[in-house]
Amino acid sequence: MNDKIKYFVAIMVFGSLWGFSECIIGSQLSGSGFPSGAIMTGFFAMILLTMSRLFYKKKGMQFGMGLVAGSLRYFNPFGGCHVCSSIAIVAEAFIFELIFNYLSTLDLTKIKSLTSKAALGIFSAYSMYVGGTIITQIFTPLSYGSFYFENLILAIPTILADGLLVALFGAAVVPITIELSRFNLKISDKLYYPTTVGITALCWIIVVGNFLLLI
Amino acid sequence: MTLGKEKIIPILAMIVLFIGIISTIYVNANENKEELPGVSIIINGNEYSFQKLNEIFQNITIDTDEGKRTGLPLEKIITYSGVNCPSCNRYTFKASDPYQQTALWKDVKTSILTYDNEYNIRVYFPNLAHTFWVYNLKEIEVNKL
Repeated sequence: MNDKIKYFVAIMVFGSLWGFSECIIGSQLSGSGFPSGAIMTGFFAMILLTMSRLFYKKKGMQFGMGLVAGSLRYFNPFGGCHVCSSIAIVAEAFIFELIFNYLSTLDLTKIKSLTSKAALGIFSAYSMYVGGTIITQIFTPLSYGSFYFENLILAIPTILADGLLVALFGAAVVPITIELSRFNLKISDKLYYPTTVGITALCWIIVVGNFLLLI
Repeated sequence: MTLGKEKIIPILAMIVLFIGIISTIYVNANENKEELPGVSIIINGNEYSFQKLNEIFQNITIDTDEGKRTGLPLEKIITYSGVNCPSCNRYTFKASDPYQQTALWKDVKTSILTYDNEYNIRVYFPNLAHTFWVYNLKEIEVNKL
């Protein structure tokens, strides 16, 4: 099987799952009064990004996933400024990529100590959430012609405080995901394309269909 | 992971945890916990109880991307609070924690004020992103554009 195509399809399926969870699960959580931003970044995004890193061990893949998830988020009618949410997702992926490229190793299973795994989860989840939220707080008011620097400064302590919950999610999610990868979950070559393309298509059909129904 | 990275990551994690904890303490310490009589809000420098506003104004229902929301029309409340030229001002919605957002009249006039069972006042803007939907609202400051 051509590795480049396999890799591209993996970016599409993991990115689509991330975008789908942001659009469908995120909006449901927010509507139910849960801290959706913290759960989406600390739980769903961290699991998918860490899993893709574990399975494919490729630099640049997570940024690609962010581009796919951001594109899917753009088609979701929830939340007002679609472009801003899309940019925030891409920014989160970029931050993850930076941290894992410069502070970690491509093969996450080589990280032996639980402290290092948890610390990697804490630092990456916190940085992603804070970075993504600050970008949202800048671009969203800007897009409505109502950006005031004073509002951003006053929001910073709340953003930094909210990030604590995300950091705790990261502390659990990264070590658990790395440990679960030892169960050698592999899909046969025969099933790889039908499964991944099917999941990708399903994610896009649900999100875009939801969008078309609501406009 | 190299030995250097093995040491750096836990230090960075401790730094962000420290920042998160200090920020949480700061936000809680600065939260405006002063109990106003009933459910009250300061608009344009005047304090109003939500109960009184409820007696004066009729609820309206607006469509948001989270479904229908019912509350008091902010357009009428702003005029009632003594703002003579609503479109000449910007409106800053301040929460009990330091969070705040600023909106223009074109969006304020379609918005509503609601309160939930925990007596938290929230503003809903049908045409603005959720970033602007400030909850635990304590004050609406009116400033010239």
